[in-house]
Amino acid sequence: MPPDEQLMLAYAGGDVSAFELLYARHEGALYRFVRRLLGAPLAAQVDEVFQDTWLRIVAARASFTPQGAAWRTWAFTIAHNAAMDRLRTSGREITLGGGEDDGDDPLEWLAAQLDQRHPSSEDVAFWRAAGRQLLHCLDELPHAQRAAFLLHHENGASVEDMALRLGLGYETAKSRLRYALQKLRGCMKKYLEVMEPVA
Amino acid sequence: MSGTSHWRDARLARALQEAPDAALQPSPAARRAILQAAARAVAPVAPVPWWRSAWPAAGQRSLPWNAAFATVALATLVTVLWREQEVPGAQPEAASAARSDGVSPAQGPTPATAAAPSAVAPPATPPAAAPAPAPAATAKAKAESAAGDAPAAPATSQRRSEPARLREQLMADRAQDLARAAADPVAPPAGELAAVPPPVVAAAAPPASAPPAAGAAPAAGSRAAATPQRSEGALSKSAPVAQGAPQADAQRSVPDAASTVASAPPLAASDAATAAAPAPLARETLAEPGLPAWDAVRLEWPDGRRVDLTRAQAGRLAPPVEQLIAAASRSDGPPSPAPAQLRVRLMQRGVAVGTLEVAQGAITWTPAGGGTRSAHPDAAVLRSLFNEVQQLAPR
Repeated sequence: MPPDEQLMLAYAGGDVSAFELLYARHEGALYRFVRRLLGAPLAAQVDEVFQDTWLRIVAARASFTPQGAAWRTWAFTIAHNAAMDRLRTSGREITLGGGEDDGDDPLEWLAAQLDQRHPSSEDVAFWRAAGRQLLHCLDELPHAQRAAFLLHHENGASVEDMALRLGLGYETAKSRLRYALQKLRGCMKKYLEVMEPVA
Repeated sequence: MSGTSHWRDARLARALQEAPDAALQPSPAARRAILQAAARAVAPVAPVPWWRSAWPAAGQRSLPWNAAFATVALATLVTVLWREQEVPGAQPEAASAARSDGVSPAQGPTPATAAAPSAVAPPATPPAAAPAPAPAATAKAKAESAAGDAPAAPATSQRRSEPARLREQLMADRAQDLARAAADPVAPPAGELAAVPPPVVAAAAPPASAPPAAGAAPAAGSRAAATPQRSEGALSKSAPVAQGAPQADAQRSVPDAASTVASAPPLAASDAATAAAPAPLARETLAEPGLPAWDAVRLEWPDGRRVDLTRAQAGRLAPPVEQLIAAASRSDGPPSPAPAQLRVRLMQRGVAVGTLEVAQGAITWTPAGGGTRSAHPDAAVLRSLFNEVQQLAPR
């Protein structure tokens, strides 16, 4: 399977099939990212922003350089900018002055445990409910923190990459991510407390 | 500790994966639009035409080059169409008035019909019948030269403007009048006048004493035979109509004229043809020889009063005037010494074509080219003239 960067270069050279393959590969992830970034109030505009994202990718095909960043990071940054533009024009962007605060410790051990278990129907229902609650909690977050959390958890971008792509300082990016995690854990407390005894 | 691992919460990541919107997909329309836009973006561009690359401004639709070229092309076409032709000006009022007076454009004073009446014009139209051929050889030669130009006229006259044709017609009329006045010192006998080639006239005004059937045809035949300078084509068009026209047709065409002639009192020979015309004169009187074409008239009184009228405005003044002119043209009497009581000046396109003076029962007709004639016309005609003049006189 050719990497994303090679496909993008092929498309920039005129290969439409390379773009179709690239699109099929990242359609769902980008769509979800845009949807969650816009939140439920702007759900009706997800298709439009998603289309705008891809058109920006098409227009910027000649400027893409594989040496800079991974295509996925590059594409998610474009999607982030498109969604932020829409949020800005819709007047929903809220800027919060962030104070430094200590974050919670990660529970990386949980992932390993969850991967080893065979999910029961109860687990599926539980996680589905947790996911619904998480979407609700994301809507409560400021856009910048929401974007930082989604870029870090959905795209897998590191804090350094995120800071570089968004033109932020490292501490600013880290602070946004920390605040996002703190609020989400508070919002998801009921579900997280249930998980800890199980674990 | 790595930042990547330190800030990632596996429970929240799992919750994101299991969220209800995890399976959301864009609408097919959005997908189709994205793929089409991507394909269009890398589609090969159509080659630019060489002329557009040579002249980039030509490809800009905002510039009205097409309108500019169309304007130049139209101006060139109009210029070529009107090359060597006069620009038509405003038509004088008299022309339109005369046309509305009942003279149809076909009967109007076109050069071909006026200059060569026997060859082209239909015999029943007044302009065609008006210029009767003069008996003198010189006058006929002049008239023939004018008529001889006629066959070539249509080719050129079609390209000439209306004013030019009107001028030519006026010149031809004048030439014929001059030739007739100079070369016809003695008016022809009434019988011969009645058989003058304009066939309708010949049939319309036969002498009262002549046999109806034999009077017109032999006279016309002899007239035709006595004009050798006429072209064969002209004879073939005019003479057969006059010779072959049955008397019944002639009487049917102008029944009033025949009946009037039969019942009229004895008149002088010179007035026979005039008397043959009915009192309410018809347009056939225009066919009398020596009558110039006119479209306006000026009435002048000794006290200085005068009035200008178009032919249409003159109304019923035209028949007695033309009747008197015809009578004067057939007479050779000396000018009347009495002062004129009324002067009738006929105009054509603003140019005087002759003056008719009335003085104590006598008339004097002076065409524009000279050759004054006088006569003592019928009192009824004079009375008709004065009646009309009184109605038109300024108060």
